[in-house]
Amino acid sequence: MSEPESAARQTRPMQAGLAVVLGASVWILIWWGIAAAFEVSPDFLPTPWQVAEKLIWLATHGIGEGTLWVHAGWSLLRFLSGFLMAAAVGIPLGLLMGYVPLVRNLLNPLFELFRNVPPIAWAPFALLWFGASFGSQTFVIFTAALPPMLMNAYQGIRLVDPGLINAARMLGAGPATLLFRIGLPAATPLVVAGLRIGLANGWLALVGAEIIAGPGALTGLGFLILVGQENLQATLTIGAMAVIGLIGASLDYGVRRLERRAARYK
Amino acid sequence: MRYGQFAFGALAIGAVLAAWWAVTALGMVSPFILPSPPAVIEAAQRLSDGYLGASLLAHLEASLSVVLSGYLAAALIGVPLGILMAWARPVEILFGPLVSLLRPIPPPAWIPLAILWFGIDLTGKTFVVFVSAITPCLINAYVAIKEVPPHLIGTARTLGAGQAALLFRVAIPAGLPMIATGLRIALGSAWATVVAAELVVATAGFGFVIMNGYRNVESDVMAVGMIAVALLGFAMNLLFRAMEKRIIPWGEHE
Repeated sequence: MSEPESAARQTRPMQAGLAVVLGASVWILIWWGIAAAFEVSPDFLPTPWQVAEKLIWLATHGIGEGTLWVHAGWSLLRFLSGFLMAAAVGIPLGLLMGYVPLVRNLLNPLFELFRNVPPIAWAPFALLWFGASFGSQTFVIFTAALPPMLMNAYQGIRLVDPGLINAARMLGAGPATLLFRIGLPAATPLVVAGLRIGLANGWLALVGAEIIAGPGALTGLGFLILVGQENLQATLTIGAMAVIGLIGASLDYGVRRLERRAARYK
Repeated sequence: MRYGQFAFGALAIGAVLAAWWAVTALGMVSPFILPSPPAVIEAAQRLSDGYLGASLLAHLEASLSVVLSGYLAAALIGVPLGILMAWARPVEILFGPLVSLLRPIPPPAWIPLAILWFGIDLTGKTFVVFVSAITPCLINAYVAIKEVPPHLIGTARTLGAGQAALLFRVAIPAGLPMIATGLRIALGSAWATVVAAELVVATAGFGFVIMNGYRNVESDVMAVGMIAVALLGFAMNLLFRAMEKRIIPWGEHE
């Protein structure tokens, strides 16, 4: 790509961001217009303002175990525990699979076997094993977030330029040097990309697990969605969905920044 | 695949099955927690005759009809819309923000709202499947058309191709492999979503079978439901890849 063109692209994100915000407001206005013009019951399709009001109310008043902050906090905590466990197991195991053929040959078929089960389908077994609480949700998030992180770490090592490895080996690098000075830095972009996919999968699985666990759990954003449905309060259901989308998008944004930084290694 | 790898694979899967059989046969875990392999086979036979008012085949039909109707609607709307968004700037300006507004909401979060809007019958589940499947259809179609190599477009234009020819004879064929990938991802997503929706509320379908097994503490029934879900997901993926290879021979196949 020529220089002037890349310079022109530098100014574009601001404009693009502005266009998205404007476009999004148009759609929110359309939503508002439909709800107001047809006088739809707020139990069915509330206006954006009614949803916002509900969220503001929920910030200071509790439902179930507490306010909006308590529910968001629990959801984030569950998500993080499952996600971090998946990263702690998946990335080292994936790197190991890339390095040791025996491990690869033994584990690959097992992953091919289990990846046909959608992670959310584990939720009932998780409930049976760990009860309708922290443990079961962590387990489901773990199952959802593990495969992409493991597979990307594995591919990251496998796709290291063999010329690089041979050159290092000729210069007398031992296995440890090969791993930490050649393999890991070269694999980093793919590993971080795996983190991003694992994050999206894990967040989706958290919401699924919270909804499947039912209203008995008393905490979490998925619980709020359910309570809204059972009490015919669409304001609560849609408000909780918006908060889930917002947190998911922020997490994704954070990892994307990390990804851009990691890509510089290449 | 080499024979050595195949042997290792058989060894690994055999070891897991043997471990499963051993811990259950030796009574190390309660059958309420983990059913033994013979119990699962026995439960599969029981279910194929009929379970909760429906045979295994009827549950299959319930799950499949929801997944296919939601998926087809998503493909028929998502792919053309994605292509149009990439091709015509006004469409992109209009629909782009809607996509970025709705995309961060995970499909399972729509399940309760779908129940609220459509009730617990098939319509609600079809809607959730539609929501989950349209994103990969649309995004892949959009990116596929955006990433058509400019030299292809330029060459065709030099040779006198009009807008319609550029879109239908150059851009879409070039983007088809990536569109197909999106359709395949969407199918997996649709399948996972219908199972999730059936776990929450249903009167038939494999997710319903699993959840009822859970409620009645019949772990063998749960295992049968999960194995059925896995087998069907696997079969759908296999079928799709076979079709992909035949219809788009110019794509890169794994």
